[in-house]
Amino acid sequence: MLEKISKIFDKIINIPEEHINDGWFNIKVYFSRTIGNGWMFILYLISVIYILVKVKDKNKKCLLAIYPILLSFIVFCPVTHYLVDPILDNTYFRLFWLFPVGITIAYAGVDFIYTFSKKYIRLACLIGCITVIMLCGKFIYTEANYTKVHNLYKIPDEAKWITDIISEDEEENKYVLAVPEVVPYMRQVNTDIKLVYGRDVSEMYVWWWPTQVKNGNAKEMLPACKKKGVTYLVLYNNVELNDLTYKYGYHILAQTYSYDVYKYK
Amino acid sequence: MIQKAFMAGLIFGVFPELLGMLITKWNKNEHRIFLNYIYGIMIEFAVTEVFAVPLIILKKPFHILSAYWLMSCIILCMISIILNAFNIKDIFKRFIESLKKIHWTVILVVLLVLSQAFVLTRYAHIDNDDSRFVTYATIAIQQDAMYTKEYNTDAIDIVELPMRDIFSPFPMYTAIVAKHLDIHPAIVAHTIFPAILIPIAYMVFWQIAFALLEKDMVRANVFCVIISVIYMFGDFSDRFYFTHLLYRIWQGKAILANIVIPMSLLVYYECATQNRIINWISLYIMFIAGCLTSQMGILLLPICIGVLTVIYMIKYRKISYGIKSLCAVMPCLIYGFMYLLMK
Repeated sequence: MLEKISKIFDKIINIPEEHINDGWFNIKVYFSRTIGNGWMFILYLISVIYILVKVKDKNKKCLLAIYPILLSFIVFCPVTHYLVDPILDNTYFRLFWLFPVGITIAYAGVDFIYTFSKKYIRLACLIGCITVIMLCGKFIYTEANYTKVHNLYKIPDEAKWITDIISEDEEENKYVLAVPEVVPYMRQVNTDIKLVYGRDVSEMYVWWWPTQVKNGNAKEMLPACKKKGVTYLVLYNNVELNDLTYKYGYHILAQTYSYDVYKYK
Repeated sequence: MIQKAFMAGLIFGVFPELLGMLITKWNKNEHRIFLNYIYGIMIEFAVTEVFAVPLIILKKPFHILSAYWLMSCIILCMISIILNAFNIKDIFKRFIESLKKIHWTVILVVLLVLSQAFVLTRYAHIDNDDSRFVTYATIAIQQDAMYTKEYNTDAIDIVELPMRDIFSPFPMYTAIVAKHLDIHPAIVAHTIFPAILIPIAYMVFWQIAFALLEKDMVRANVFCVIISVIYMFGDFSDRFYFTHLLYRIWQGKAILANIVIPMSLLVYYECATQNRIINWISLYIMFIAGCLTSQMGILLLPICIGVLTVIYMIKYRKISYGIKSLCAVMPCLIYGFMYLLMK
């Protein structure tokens, strides 16, 4: 335990110089990816300046204007990056989540609207603020972000059907080799299903299993499955396999729109 | 069905209101019904964290955590009823009276919030991160195990507990809710949580606005209208937290960024301006709740409060703010230290 504590202190005190330069570069990259087109952050900056100049209440000024300014010195510091990035597992951009962007812009907007006394001017300012926000941002309700599915589990319908097919089958040992598109969802529904490879591998087609599945390389894939004791296969129905599955004991169990489910008998 | 509805009413209605009253009884806030609810949910999170971490480290089964959680919530609710017996009627009476004079901005805010909650409840946002979070909750229910089974494939036996996850076991809260509602954890996460947590996030925004905008309800409503538009047009980057509220709110990090951190800012603002013991206690509870939601909470919340402490210590010239902040942030420091030692 003492050794670990001394390692932590050593890391804090002795910072290699190359980490400072790398830190600047990484922070810039993280920041540019976080702000997207940058317009919302410009709006945020304008709001912070507005609050600094216009708002009289010092407590509110401290919370909404001074706090982000001081926070910037910490977040944009390469030393912070050096200490924190390994703990955050290369997700340093999440430090930018400490900036209360939405709250500050909305507060500045309301404060600006209520500088006017007439109701119709306030309404016009509100519409103006909303228009500016809409122009600076990007609408979230698109087909890319939301899908209509026909199950309450909110996973792709075919993944649900395949999970149900395998779950309802009487075989007790449910060891499945599946296509990468279905792998992340099966164990969310039924944890009795074991997988040959998981989500982390399914997102990298260079790994052996997803590559064999994608290429339909039954000659290499199916003997390996049999050796591992795989009891179910979920394969693409539009990819031709280079060998017959029943030669290795895998017979078709069910079919969906895009996939064939095989069972070892 | 009736039993599920009863348990849902209990866990998402009665418990949060009664638990929240344990705090709001002493901080003399008006319009307590929302504040009760927010504090109540934070207390539910804190209770989960307090029991879950030691039970996970000791590799105990999930049903023990579930039983302790329910027992603790019931005991705390009974204490709240005893302490607040004469106030409960007043709180609801005040709320019903405020409904009699509804401004048009209230209707606009309610429509915006409910439509946002409806979209995520009705439609699906497919996210592969759920293969970890939701699977852990499903393992807890189906195999009565907390982080002792490998979530990815279950093809290997776990030798060591996953350090990354055990100090922030938000999936265990999902599993607790799923167990008591007798609904699958994936349904709880993807269908029920959006309907509950999105309105909670807007309750937090409304409370912040009410505190900062001279306790003017109409201005707070206008604030919520603007902030809801900001979130609806927040898809400029998938790495910023705006998108997490509207399409991944069931994940711990989304709750941290959109509910816990904003609420911590409000609670710290009240600590600095009012400086009552109850404010600091509620900050302490917020931090325990923040630790549950995400590993990042253990790191980000101390940074956030550290900066605010420096600012308000200088403003008010009170070293006591630093000492009180340090006490409040203890849970994060303890869990962080344990994580670094056990890693």
